[in-house]
This record gives sequence, C-alpha cells and structure tokens, in this order.
Amino acid sequence: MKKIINILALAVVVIATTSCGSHTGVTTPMRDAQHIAYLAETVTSEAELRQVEKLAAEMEHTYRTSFNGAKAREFKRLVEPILNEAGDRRDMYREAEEWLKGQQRLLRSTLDDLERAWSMALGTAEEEWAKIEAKLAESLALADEASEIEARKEQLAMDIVEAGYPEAMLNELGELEKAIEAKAEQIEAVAKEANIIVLAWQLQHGEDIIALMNPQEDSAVADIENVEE
Amino acid sequence: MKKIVVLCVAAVAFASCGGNAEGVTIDEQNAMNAAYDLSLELATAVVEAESYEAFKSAREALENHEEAFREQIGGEEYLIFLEEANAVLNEK
Repeated sequence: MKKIINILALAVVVIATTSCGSHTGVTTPMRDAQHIAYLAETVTSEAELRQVEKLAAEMEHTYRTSFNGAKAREFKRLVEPILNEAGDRRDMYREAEEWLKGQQRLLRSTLDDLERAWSMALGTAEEEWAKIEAKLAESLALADEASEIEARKEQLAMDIVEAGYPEAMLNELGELEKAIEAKAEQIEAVAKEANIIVLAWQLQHGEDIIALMNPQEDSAVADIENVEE
Repeated sequence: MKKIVVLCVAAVAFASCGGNAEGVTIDEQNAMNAAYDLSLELATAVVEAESYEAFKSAREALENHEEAFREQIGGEEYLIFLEEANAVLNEK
C-alpha cells in the first residue's frame, strides 16, 4: 500500500513539474505586460535581457495554448516595444562599458610605454638611429606585402562574382582579409617599437633623435620658413 | 540618459581587483572638481618627470588615485579622471 502511494505521489510531482515547465502563470495581457516592463527597467546586460525575453516568450506561449490567439497577440503587441527599449538600454550599457574599459586599457598601455622608454638601455645616437631605420624598412616591407595581398583580394572578389559566389572562394577571401588585418597589426607593432626608441631618447637625453640625425632636413625647413617670411 | 548609463556602468567598476590606493581619500562632495584637477596634476607630473625615479613616483601617484576614484567614487567622476589623464598623457 505504502509503495503504491509513493508511486502515485511521484507521478503527481512529475506531472506537476512538467505542467509548470510549459505553462507560466498569467493574469491579463495588460497586467503581465506591466510586470515585464517592471523587470525590463532593470536590464543592463545581455543575460538579464535574455531572462526577461524568455519570461515574455513563456507568457505568450501560455496565452496562446491556454486561452486564444487574440490574448496572445495583445500581449505580444504590448511587450514588443518594452523589450525593444530594454535591448536599446542593454546596447547603451554595453557601449558605455566598452568605452570605460578602453580608457582603462589606454591608461595602462600609455604608462607601460613610458616605463619602457624610461628603462630602455640606449646606445649611441647612431646606433639607435640605425635601429629606427631598420624598423622603418621593416614596416615598408610589410606594407608592400599587405598591398600585394590587397591586390589579390580585389582580383578574387571579382572572380567570386563571375563564379557565382562559391563557398571555397568566399572562404579564401575571408582568409585574405584576415591576412591583411594581421599585416596591419604587424606594421603597427613595428612602428610602435620605433616610436618607443624615439621616446626613450627624448626622455633620457632631452632631445629629438630624428632632428639630431637629420639636420639637413631641419635646415631645409628653416630655409623654406625664412623665404616665406 | 547616457549620463545615467555611464554612472551605472562605472558603478560596476567598483569591483576592485585589490590594489594599493595607499592613503588616498577622494572627497566625495568635491569629486567632480577633484577628477579634473587631480587628473591634470598627476598626469602632468608623469609627462614632465625628469628622471626614471621621478617617473616611477609620478606613475605610482597617478595609479593610486585612479584606484581611489574607481573604488571610492566610480561613476562619471571616475570616467572623467581617466579621460582627462589620458588626454594629458597622449597629448604629444
């Protein structure tokens, strides 16, 4: 007897759980929409928005299955602008958070660059200038490579249109775009290395190594300025 | 609306990674002025440092104040501190 009661109780629990999972409690479309609006006001993240959207979807499902299409449509009409606004708010928070993090990263990286420049062991001006020129040559070589890839990409783009957008060629196009981005990052990194040397010389010696090693250009500029005056 | 968003987001930045804002207390009542004044003063000290030691000392002061603004104030004032300090540091 006890065993039968236990089995029946378990069955009731299973049925109740299954039922609860598929029928969220609802009252009236207006009142439920107001509840969704109340929850949506606090949304600041993707996860929170998803929870509110899920609840709204469950309520709409309940209206559709337990009542009729008219109530479901009315509920949907009421909550749609609420969820759109919550989505906009989520986007604004995300944007503001990204901006804040960007400012934090910029502060750290700027201070780290200054630290590197201050602590860098420097040779003679000629030795450091040779390093800067080598970096310049490296970045020019990388730029040439990037231009070649860009030209190949443009040709491939035209070929893709003629071939009717085959997937393999589209994938290849994607790979070329990634390669161009990688080259751009390398160029930026090399330029930064050169700039750090220039900055290090400025900080540690109090002079501009570019002007120091290129006096002819400086005097040419001065001559032009004198003529203009 | 954007200010409110920035306020709330920067409030989240209260989550501190643990740090070392030794002895730095920001006057909450005057936080906005402090954000402008201190960011200019401290970032300028970093930029105008005339030795590595002076730079390290100036950097530590700036970072301690950044942490203090983040932990004690947050919000728009913290963002202003960051933006103004970055503007001075990256001026050249």
